[in-house]
Amino acid sequence: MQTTEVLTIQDLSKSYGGVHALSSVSLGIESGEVHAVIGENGAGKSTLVKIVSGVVRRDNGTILMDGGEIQFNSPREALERGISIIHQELSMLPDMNVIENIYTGRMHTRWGVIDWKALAEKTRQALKVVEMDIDPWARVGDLSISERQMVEIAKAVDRKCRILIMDEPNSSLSEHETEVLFRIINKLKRDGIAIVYISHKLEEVLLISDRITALRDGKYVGTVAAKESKIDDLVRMMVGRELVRDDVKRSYTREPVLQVSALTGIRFRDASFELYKGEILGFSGLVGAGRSELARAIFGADRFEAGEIRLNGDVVRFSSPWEAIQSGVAMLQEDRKKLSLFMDLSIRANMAIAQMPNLANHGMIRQQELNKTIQGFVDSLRIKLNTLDHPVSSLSGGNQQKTIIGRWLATHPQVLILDEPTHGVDIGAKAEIYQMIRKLADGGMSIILISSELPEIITMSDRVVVMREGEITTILEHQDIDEETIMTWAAGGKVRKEEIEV
Amino acid sequence: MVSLRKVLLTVLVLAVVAAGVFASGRQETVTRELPPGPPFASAAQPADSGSVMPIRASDRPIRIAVIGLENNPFWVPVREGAEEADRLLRQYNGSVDWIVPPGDAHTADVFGNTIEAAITQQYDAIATIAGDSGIVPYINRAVAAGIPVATFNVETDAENNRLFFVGADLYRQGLAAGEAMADFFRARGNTAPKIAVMTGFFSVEGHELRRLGFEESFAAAMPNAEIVGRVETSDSDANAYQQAQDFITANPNLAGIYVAAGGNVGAARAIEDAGLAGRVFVFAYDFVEQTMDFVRKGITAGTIGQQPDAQGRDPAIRLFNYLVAGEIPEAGRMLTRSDFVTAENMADFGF
Amino acid sequence: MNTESFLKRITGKTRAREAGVLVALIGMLIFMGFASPFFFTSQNIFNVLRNTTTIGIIAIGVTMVIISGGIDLSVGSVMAVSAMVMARLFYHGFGTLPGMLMGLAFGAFIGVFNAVMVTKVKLPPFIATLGTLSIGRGLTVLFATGIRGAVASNITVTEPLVLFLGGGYLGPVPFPVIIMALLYAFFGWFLRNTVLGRQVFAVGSNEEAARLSGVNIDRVKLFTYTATGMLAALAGILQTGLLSTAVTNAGQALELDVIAAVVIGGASLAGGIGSVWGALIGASIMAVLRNSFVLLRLPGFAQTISIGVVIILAVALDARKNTNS
Repeated sequence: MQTTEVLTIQDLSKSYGGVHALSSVSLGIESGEVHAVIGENGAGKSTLVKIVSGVVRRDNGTILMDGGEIQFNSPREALERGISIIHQELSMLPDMNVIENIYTGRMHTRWGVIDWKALAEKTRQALKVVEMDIDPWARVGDLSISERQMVEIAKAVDRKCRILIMDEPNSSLSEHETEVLFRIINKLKRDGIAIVYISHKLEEVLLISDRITALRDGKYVGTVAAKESKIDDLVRMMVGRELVRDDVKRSYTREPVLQVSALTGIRFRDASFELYKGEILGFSGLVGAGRSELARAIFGADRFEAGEIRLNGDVVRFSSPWEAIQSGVAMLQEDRKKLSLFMDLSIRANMAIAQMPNLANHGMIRQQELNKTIQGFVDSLRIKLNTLDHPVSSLSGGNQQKTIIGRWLATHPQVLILDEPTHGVDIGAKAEIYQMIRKLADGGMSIILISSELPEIITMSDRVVVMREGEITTILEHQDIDEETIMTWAAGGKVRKEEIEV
Repeated sequence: MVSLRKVLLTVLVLAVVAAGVFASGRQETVTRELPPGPPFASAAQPADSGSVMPIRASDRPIRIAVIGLENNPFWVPVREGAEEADRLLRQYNGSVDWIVPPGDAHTADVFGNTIEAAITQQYDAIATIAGDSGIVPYINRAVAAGIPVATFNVETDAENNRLFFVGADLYRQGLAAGEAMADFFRARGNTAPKIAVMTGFFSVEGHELRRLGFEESFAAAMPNAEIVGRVETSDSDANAYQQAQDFITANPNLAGIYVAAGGNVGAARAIEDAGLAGRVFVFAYDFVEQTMDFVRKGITAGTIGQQPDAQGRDPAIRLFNYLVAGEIPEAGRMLTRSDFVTAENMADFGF
Repeated sequence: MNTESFLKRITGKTRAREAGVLVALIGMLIFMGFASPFFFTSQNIFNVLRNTTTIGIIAIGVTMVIISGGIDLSVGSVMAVSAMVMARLFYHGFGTLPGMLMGLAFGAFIGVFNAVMVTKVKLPPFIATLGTLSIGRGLTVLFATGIRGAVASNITVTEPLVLFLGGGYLGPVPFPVIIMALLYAFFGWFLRNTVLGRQVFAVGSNEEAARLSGVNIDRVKLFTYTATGMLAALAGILQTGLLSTAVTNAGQALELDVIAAVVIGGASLAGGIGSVWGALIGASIMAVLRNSFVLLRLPGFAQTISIGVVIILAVALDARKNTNS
């Protein structure tokens, strides 16, 4: 096995509007190695990938390939130089066949006519690399995720790629499919292809990689050999900081308001937990762990397959969010623009929508009462606005978020689910939202706080539920909450029994 | 998968070839000597229009297809004409089938397909509406297969192998309308009437022929008259109502409204609502029930007919006579009468 | 001229978009006042108003459908078929009121059908209502057939109440204008002051967010399509009264005129934005245009062109305004 560096990254920096997504990162990738890049959400992994594959341009630093400096202006240039990328959300043409997906833009023609026969044969050859018996004529949309991924790998190999970047390649694969993937990766490795493996599933990273580099807050932390590392080491590299925790030990009675037992849905399994009156229950986990999906099922936004939900001791099963709202359960959705805001409508309408039916006689809105209610929340949440009649799009992100919080507070919930309540919110508004959450809990409201920001979870939660791949791995009591413990449970605390052959 | 495609393709090619061979073979077998017809563009108004009778019985059954429409009340008497022809011909070993193409719309493709179906069903003769030139190849195909074709009601200018046409000459109808209107106002002592012109669509040739014919003869007969506007109703009575109102508003001494296509009922209703019955008069076409109501009331001064019953009846009987007795129609265009039906003479026309 | 404050004074609220088209309408009225001595006669004004009623009444429903993020192409044929159902029932001896109610019910029924196709079968509204457009037209011919042989014929209607509703006057005011005014007053109030009315906007602005905020999406759509069906049926009945005939080709291509009026009035085809008052102004602009071209003796094709120009201008100016702000 050769050990020459094909790709050398030096002092790479990139910022988006003043926020440093990547600062002075240096990294070397050798041919024939699997080099994993790990880090928390927002550590800079995706930015690194985007720069190397030519999707975004770097601000500073140099990238050397075989010793010569490169600067890509488009993904196409990167492809031509032998850098292929397989995205987490496979970017394929679902309505076209395998041949077209592999040879898009490189279709073999004879006198301007597509030579399907030759292409089909070439496709079969290309697919041999991934040891897959896939019909070249099959519609890609009909293939399984794993098969699609293999088609992408075959495509990269067919393009004579030398560096293959895989972004969370096994996030939606079964164990068996992951095994197949790892076997193919090892094969590519033997052929001298360098593989950059982006993941936050630590135990698999340990299994498949030769070397592991950790990023944190856009900075390079270190590179270690996989053979000499344990999960704990990796977690420490990813987390790394000592958080000063303003340890507010809140007091609340252990009187369950919401009891969820063995709830099972499409993206979560066998979830059981209790939420106490006046408690802030944090939900932590990596992206895709199934936290939002579990919450949505409780709220009646999605269906669940099995299990039971009790509210104040009574079994409930909400068939729509409306029923949940009427029973005193409210949920702030994670994607503000897509799932919460009515951009064209006024601030008033945005705040009133959920509670409006309860402020009406026979469907006719009691306007004065409604205005009074809304004005009350505008004041108490300190939403900065000119007039309630302006469209909500005229507000800043923080004030938009407060508007939606106001929408849910207006329904007087006893259980308030907050999914990423401080996403895209400036620091000042963040602090105000934290204050408000505490105040609400002190007033007896039970709060589920879903967040991908560990500091947020740690400072705010009374207890923390940790989820991983759809399952609740642990529920941490107040005294056990710290970053490393949460990360260990979220990223791979439960080590798999099956050993995967390397 | 690939081999399956190949098999399918081969089967398809074989099917097309076989069909081609079969079709051409069939064309060779069916040939019939038919005497040549009259010159394509020659025109005459036959004395027996609407009353032509079968000459003699056929020694074999003669089946005639009449392809028409039913999408508007105008076609009621046309269909009745075709049914009358069927009753008559049954005594002479003949029969008529009234066929409405699927979709009931006057476009060349549906009519073409219906003609082809009639060829396949081995009708002995076909009569069809032939409004646009897209239908020409189908007519020629039928004639090549030995099936004589007559057209009725409306036909394209594009020359083709049809034997004869039965229907109105729209331009001549327009001329007749202009003269009728001039006579009407002259009789009332008004030699400089202000009139408005409504047509269905400026883009429909038949509507334009009626409008231009009218304007030509009316201007010649009444040089001092004034046309205050020309609008299209889209054949809609609701539009015509609004436009008539607007004309009345803008022209307080409006005397008449000429409606070349659909919309005369709406225009007449607007005059009635404005209380101008007896001062503004509508000049219309055809004998639809609601039109006749306004003729009876005197708001519509008169309506110009085109013998719709003859259009359904005569093509079938003349085709029968041609096949059985070799009788050739006197002209390529057998024109129907453009009767001007008014409140006074409507009883003579069975109203 | 400060258009916003002007509109604010007469409506008590600020809606820049309606203000823009209202100014355009007023401009046209002033121009026509100078261009034709007949324009500002009370007779002509009432004529124009009545000519606004068919599009105007249906535009109320279509505005609501468009605000809720849908589209309804079936209104023209719903109008024709409902009127034909009524006329046919009269022909068979039904009483005036039962016949009219059946006509309205038929329109409502097609509206319910549209809503079910959209909410339960999950058809795109364009496809669902394109289907009912065709079905309605075919049913019109079916219901018009059989009185005189096997051919469709227009049916004369003589019921005095129907003739009065469509063609009568209250003082100098045509009765359909009064009906339209009442409908606008009601629906203007309704959209602003009822839960369902506000939910129409929410559904069109962000359907998923509306569902997650407890809005019953299906109920909102059932309402908008059914109301549109009934309003189209009402317009059909009024037109039948005016012409004293139920015609088979009533409302042909009307859906496009109605959508044009709604769009000129400021509604967004993407949903969430629009108002019935805007639609009324849009319908009025189209009626004034039609009237002007006859009064000014301009050729008919120019009218068709000018309506197209108005649609493009109105929406283009609005798009510019949005990008500027």
